[in-house]
Amino acid sequence: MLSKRWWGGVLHKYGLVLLLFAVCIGFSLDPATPAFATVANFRFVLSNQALTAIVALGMVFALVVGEFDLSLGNIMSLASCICAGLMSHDNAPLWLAILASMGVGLGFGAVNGLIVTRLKVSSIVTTLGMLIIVTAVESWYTGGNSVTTGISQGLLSIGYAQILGIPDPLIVLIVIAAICWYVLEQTPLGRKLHAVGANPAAAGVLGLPVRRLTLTSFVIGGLVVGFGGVLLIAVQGSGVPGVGQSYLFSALAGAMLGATTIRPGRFNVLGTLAAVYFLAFTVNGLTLSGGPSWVSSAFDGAALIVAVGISVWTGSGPEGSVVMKDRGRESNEEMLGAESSVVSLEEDGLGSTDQLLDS
Amino acid sequence: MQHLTEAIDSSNQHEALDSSNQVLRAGDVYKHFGGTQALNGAGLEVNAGSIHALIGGNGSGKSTLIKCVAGVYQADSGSCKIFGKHIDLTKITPVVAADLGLRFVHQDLGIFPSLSIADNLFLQSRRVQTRLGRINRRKAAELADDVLGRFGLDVNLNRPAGELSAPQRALIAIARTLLLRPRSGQLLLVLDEPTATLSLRESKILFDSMRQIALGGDAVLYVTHRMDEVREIADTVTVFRDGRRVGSESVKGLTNKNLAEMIVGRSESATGSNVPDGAGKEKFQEGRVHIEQDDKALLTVKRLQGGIVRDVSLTVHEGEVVGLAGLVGSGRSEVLRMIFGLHPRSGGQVLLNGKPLDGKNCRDARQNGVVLISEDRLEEGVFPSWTIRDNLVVGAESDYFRWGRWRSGQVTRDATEAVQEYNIRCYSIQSHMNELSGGNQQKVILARLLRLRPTLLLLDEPTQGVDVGARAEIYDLIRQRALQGMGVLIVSSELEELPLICDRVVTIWRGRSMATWRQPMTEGELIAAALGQEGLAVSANVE
Repeated sequence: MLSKRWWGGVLHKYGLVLLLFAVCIGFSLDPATPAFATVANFRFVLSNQALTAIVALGMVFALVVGEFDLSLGNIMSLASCICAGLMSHDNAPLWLAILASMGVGLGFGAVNGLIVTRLKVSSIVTTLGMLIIVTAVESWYTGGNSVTTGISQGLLSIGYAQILGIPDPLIVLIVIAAICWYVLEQTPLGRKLHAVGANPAAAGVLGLPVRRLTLTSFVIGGLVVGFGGVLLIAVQGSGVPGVGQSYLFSALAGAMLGATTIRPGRFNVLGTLAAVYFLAFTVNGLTLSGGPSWVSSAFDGAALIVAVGISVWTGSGPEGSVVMKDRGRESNEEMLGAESSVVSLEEDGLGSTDQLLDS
Repeated sequence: MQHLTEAIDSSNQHEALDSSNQVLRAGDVYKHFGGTQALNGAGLEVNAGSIHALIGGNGSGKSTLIKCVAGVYQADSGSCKIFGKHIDLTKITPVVAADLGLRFVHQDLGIFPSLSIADNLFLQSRRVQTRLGRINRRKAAELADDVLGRFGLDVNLNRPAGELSAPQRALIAIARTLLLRPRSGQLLLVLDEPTATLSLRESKILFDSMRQIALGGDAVLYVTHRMDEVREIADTVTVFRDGRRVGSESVKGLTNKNLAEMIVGRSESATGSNVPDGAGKEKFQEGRVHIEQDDKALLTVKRLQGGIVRDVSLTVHEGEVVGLAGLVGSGRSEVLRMIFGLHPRSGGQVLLNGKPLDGKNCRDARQNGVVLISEDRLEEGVFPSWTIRDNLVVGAESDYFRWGRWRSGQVTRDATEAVQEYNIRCYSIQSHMNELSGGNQQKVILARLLRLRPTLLLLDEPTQGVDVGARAEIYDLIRQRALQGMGVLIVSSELEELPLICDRVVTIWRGRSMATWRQPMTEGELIAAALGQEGLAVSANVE
């Protein structure tokens, strides 16, 4: 029997996915947006937003361990410039350029991770600073000019080619997402990362290397966007400096909103994909129906707040301390309220005669 | 000074009107938390112009009573008269209590180190504001000088409070409460263990000011656990035990021994008759700890030092349950944490099966089969947003990874089994951890660690916030595993529980291991030993 409870469960888990379908169907039927339900438009959104989704996936790693990484969009754009630059100026082969791109991501991720875990600087501050530094490095490297020549034709073709009607960038995204999902959900490493995010102190007491795991997640996040940099060249047809930051907020909103669906209360790969495309198609539809260009930003910002709001209201806040520091603990205290207050009394101790003996 | 003299005058008037001279009279106060009856008909009277000490052991209810009167908690029932006004303790709020003239200084003084002393003093006071709401510095300085002068505090008001010594900060916290006079003019100052972090000499400074306040006609209620302080400073003392008042007496003529008996709840003769002379006990001389050279020991701790731990030695054998008894602040938890590597050591040695455990991080200990259950279950135990199932298998990730896949089916089967085996009461293994009661959460954590087959289990207050039924189950589990060879080291404030489950108990006092007690032992002996020399004299059978 499809009880109310069952429907509640479905809505709770797949609400955002249903919303994504609703948005797509709604705009398709809307006579004001005849351009929405075209193959070209779907292809455009799907492949263009693959990059946002990749940045969001990178962010998921940091978020899972309870940290933020705001620099990933910029790292991706720097990686793409270096990748293109190597091919263009140094005639490097494609495989080397790809490795270099991933190396850039890995390197910056490691620096972020080391600053956060060793120097104990908050990850928001660290990665915000790194975002600015990365922008500077990018300007220095490119001189502000796009790298348009000498890029491998094979790479560029990925930007517009398709297999069985599915645009190649989307296929690349699906492969990366599958790897991320596997690491986060199927391997001991992923379980440990989740544990660190859910309660770092308890994870430490269990003998998990909390700092190393945190560092690892920053490195993986960097690697993901390092590879994303290669795809960025393919989609844009050149290495363009300064585009990274435009991915930041959509990706952050996607990752946050993603934690409210599929596996509510947990930053997860499938939820993130659903959220990124929900935001993308909604904005796309609104733009096609004549909405102004700022709709996109407004929507991302609202999604960020709504995402966190939903988790606060439903009590299914993402694990870890990212969003709401003491969510889990709060409800725990309500539950324990009684006992823990008695416990606090026990801290009184049973009296000491130290002082008498001193005198 | 003007307003203070006025206040004293008016309080004297007040005294004359109120024939009983009682500023606080609470009676028949009941308060329960969950299944625990924290207050069971407690009562307390405090007279104006006097210093009244409130003393009692763990969970005796003294702080609960204070918090009920302060409006922090609402009592289940109880009558109360504050400055002659009848107050409904089931409805009182902190604001009402403050209006009536109750002032509280908590152990955490609420001094802001980065703010100036003046700012700290006038944080809540509107009296020094000009009509436009600006702070009138000159008036503030005058007022502050008055109050601080009374306490003999000569400090520069513009310096940050962080530069003050510990007792000076306490005085500032007290002075701050005195600046806010209620309409009635009279105050009841409640100090909750203000000397907990002070040395004896520093405490004396505080005592002088308390005298001053009492001489000025206000009343001081002083919550403490130090017997000698009671005799030094208080006029009358009330002893609490098990949520009830054991007695209220004038301090004159009272000895520490009398007090200790009231707190512990047993007379000298009763304890003495219980236990045969020195049966099965070794007593270590303080400072000269002798440790049996024992190659078979699972855990050997030799002269461990670090933080408040000054010199602790002990051994745990395979299959043995060893207790560590001591007061809060004696260093018992720190010993466990140092063994495990959660707290830095400054000296001494820890050997596990004869091999040194350097204690630099918990992973070493963990890889050598040592696990720890922290005192702070919420902070260092549970993964609150996770399901019970995931909480049960966390830490054993590699056991569930086979052929490149996470074996979630196996996890579910194992978790279901563990829930039955450890009698964890829950709706489903998919329930969230924070839906469980404290006892069941503790059982999940215990199950999680025992499933890792540890060789040594370190337990810090394992029954804290755990209901009676679950307690028994937890102790059964520990005993069972000990029979299979696991070594256990337990820290517990519940001294009556240690004799029930421990083969041996090591008492620790001021960071030093003092004595080892073997079965048969009694709670009374342990309490006495935990109190140090004084307590040992009370129990009168060790000397």
